[in-house]
Amino acid sequence: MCEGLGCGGSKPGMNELRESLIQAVDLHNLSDDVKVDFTGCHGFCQKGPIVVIEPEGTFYTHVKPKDANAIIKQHFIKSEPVKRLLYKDAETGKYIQNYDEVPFYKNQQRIILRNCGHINPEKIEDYISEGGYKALQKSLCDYEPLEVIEEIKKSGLRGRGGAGFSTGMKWSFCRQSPGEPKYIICNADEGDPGAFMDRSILEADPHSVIEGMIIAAYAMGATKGYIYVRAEYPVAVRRFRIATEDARINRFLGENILDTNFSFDIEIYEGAGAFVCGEETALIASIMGKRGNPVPRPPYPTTTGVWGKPTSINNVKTFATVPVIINRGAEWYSSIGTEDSKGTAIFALTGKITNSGLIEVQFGTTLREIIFDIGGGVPNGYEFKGVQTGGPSGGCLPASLLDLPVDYKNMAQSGSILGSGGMIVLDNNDCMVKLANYFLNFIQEESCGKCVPCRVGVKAMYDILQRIIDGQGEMEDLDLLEELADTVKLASLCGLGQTAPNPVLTTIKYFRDEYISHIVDKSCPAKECQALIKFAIDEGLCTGCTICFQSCPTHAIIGRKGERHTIDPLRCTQCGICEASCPSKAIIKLDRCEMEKVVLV
Amino acid sequence: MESQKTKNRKESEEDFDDNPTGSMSTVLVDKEEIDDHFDYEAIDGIIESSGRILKEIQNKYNYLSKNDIKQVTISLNEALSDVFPILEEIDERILEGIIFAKERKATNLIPILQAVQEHFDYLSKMTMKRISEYLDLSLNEVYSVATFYTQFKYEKPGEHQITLCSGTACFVKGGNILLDAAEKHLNIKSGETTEDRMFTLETVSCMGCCALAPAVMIDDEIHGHLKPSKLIKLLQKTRKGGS
Repeated sequence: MCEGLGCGGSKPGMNELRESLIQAVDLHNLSDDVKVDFTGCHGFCQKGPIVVIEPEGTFYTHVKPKDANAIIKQHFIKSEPVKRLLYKDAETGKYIQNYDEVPFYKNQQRIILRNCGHINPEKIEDYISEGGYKALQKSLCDYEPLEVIEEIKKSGLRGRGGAGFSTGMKWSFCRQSPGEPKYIICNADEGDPGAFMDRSILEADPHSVIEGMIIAAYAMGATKGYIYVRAEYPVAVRRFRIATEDARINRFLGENILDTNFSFDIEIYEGAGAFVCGEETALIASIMGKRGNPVPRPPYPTTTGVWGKPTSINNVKTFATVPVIINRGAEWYSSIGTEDSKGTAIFALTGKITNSGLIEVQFGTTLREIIFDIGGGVPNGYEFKGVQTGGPSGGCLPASLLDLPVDYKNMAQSGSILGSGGMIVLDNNDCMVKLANYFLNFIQEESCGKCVPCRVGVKAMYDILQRIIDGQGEMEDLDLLEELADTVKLASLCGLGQTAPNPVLTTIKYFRDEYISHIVDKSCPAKECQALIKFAIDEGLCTGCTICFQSCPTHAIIGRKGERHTIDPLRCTQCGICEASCPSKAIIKLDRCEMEKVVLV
Repeated sequence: MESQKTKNRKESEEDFDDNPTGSMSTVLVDKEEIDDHFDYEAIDGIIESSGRILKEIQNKYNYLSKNDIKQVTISLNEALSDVFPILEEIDERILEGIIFAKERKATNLIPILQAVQEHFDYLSKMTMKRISEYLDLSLNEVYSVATFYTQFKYEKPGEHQITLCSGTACFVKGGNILLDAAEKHLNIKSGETTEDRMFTLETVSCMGCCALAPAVMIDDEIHGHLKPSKLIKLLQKTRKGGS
C-alpha cells in the first residue's frame, strides 16, 4: 500500500484505508499469510491510492477503504483479482493485472527509484534484503578512496541537481583541496514548483541516499555530512531521521564504520523555505545560520565551503545512484544513456497529462516517448502544445521538438535545461505569455535581492509581460524583453538570476506568434488572459443549477434555478471562477474576434 | 543565564507590586496568596528539570520533535499552573526551555527560530528579543535572518490555516482562479488573516502533490482537484465546524 503524499491526499483517509485492510485480513483469518505494510511513493500518483500485492505484483488503483474487504476476500480466498480495481488501459480497454505490464511502468527503467514502492522506508531490514549497504561494504573493503572516485568518474555520472557537473570531478576536487575536516552536503532543498522527486526518494528509500553519502564521504575523506531538507517536507524529514538512527544502530554511521577506521555521521538540517537556498553558496550560508545570500564563485565550495572547509554538495538523486554504480560497476552504468549523459533521469510528469506521476527513463528517450507512451498524452481531447522543463530556470519546448532525445546537451541547445526534472505538459488552453509571466513572478518573489540584474531586471521584465497580458503591449516590448533577458543572464551573480530569463526567451523563440497576437490583435489565442476575453453562457448547455450564480464574487450572473443564466458584462470582472466551477461546461470564453461577432449578431 | 532569570523575576515582582488590583488580580485573589504561590525555587526547579529533559532528548536524538516539546510543555504547564497561574509568564518560561535546549551558538539561530515558531505558531517581538539575547546577536540580525525565509510568521495565525498551492502544475490547472475565489470569499489577500481570526490564507510554491492539482491544504488535510465552488463550500464547512 502506497503512503506517498499524492496517494494519501489527506492523512485521515490513508489511515482509514490501512485500518480497513488490516481488519479485512483479520476477518478472514489470513494474518499469518498476509501482511499489510506501507511503502513510499510508487510514482503513479494519478491512479492513487494504490495497493500492490507482492510478490506477484498485482496492481490495484483508486482503492477506497470500502474496497478492502473485496480485495482480501476475492484475491486471497478465491484467488482471483478484483477486476474493477485493476488498471484499465485507455486505448485497448483491457484490464492489466501485473505491475510490470502497465504501460506507465513498462516503458521505464527504474534505477534510482529501484526500491520506491517496494520496501518499507522505515525498516532498514527491507533495504538490506534488497541488497542495501552491500555497496558500502564493497567500497570500504575492496576499494581505496581514490578507486571509488575513479569508478564514479568512469561511470560518467553527472550531478542531478540541474547543472550536470561531473560528480567524480567534484569529489576529486574536494578530496584534493587542503583543509580538514571536509564536509559533504546532500541538497534536498527541492524548491522547483512542479518537481517532487527528491521528496519521493527521501520518503520511499532514504537508506539509498544515506548509503550514497557514506560512500562519498569515504571517497573524499569527509567526516561529517549534512542533509538540507525543506521544512515543507515533514514526512521526508521524519523518515530520514528514522533511517539515520537505524543506520547508526547497524554501524553504518558513526565511529569506526563496519569496524574500519573510517568514521562519518550525518546531521539533518531543515531549511526554512527559500528557493535560492538550492544554490550551493546560499545553502552553505543558510546552514551557517545566516541569510541565504549567494556569494560569487570561485572560490567554489569544494575549496571553501561550510565553515570555510572543502565541501561537496550533491543532489539527493546523485547520492541515490552511487550505490548502484558501485554494485554493478561503472561499465554497466555508462552503457545506459547517451554519449554525454549517462544513466537515467527522473521526471515529474504533471500538468495536462493523462498519467501524471514520477517516472525514470534512460537519457536519450525522446519527449514523445515520455509524454505519449508513458504519460498517455493530453487528456480530454485537447491538443498538445508544449512542455515546460526545468522549473523556473528552464524553458518551454514546442510540439516540433517532440522527437528530441532528452539529455543535458540537447536540452541546453534548445534553450531549456534539464534542471531537477519537472516536466509540465501544456495544452492549447495554456497561454505561453501568461506562463512566462508566472515564472518571472516566482523568481521576482524568490530573488534574494543582492544583485541588481536579478532584483531589478527580472521585475522590469515582469512588468513588460504584465503590460502585454493586459493588452497594453507594443511591438518594441519584444526587443526590450530580449535585451533585458540577455543582460540579466550575463550579469547575475548566481544560477537563479542567470537562468531566470529562460522561460521568457524560449517562449519568445518558439511561440512568438502568441506574443504578437497579444500585442497587435489584442487577443489571447489560449483565451486565458483576463483583460482580453469575455465570458458568456452557452444557453444550450446551461442547466440552471445556480452553481455559477452562487460562486460569482461580483454577482454578475443573473438567473433563477432551473432557468438559463446570463452574465452581466458590466459587472463581470473576468475572474473565471464561474467557468472553473460550472459542472456542465456551459460557460464559454470569447476572444476579441468572437466578441465582435457576438456584438454584430 | 542565572542573571537573566533573576532579572525576570524582579520585573515580574515589580509588575505585581505596582498593579495589585489590575488584570492580574482576576486570576490571583490577594497579595498574600500571591506570595504563597510564588515559590520561586520550586518554579526554577520545575523549569530547570524541564530544560534538562529537553536537553537530554536533544542530546539523545539530536533534535526535538514537536511532540517532545509538546509533552514537556504540557507537563511544565501543569506543574507550573499549580504554583504560577499566569499564562504569559509560563509562555516565557517555556520559551526559555526551548531556547536553552539548543547550544548557545549563533549558527543555531534558524533551528531555534523554527523550534520557537513550532510551539508558539509565530515569532513575536518578545521571543525574537530573547533569542537575540541568548545568542549574543542584535535584534536586527535575528530579524534579518528570519525575514529572509518564508517559513517564519510574525502575527498570530487564524484558527484554520488555508494553504493554496501555487506550483506550476496547479497554476496551469487553474490554481490562480482558486486563489482569486478564496481571496474574494474570505475578503483577505494571501498572507493575511480574517478579522474574526478564523482563517489565515497562504500560498506555497509547491506542495509536491502535482497529480492532485489544483490542490489546497486546509489545516493538515490536502484536498485535490478542487473547483472554486467546492473550495468555497469547504471553507463554509470549516467555518461551521470550527465555531
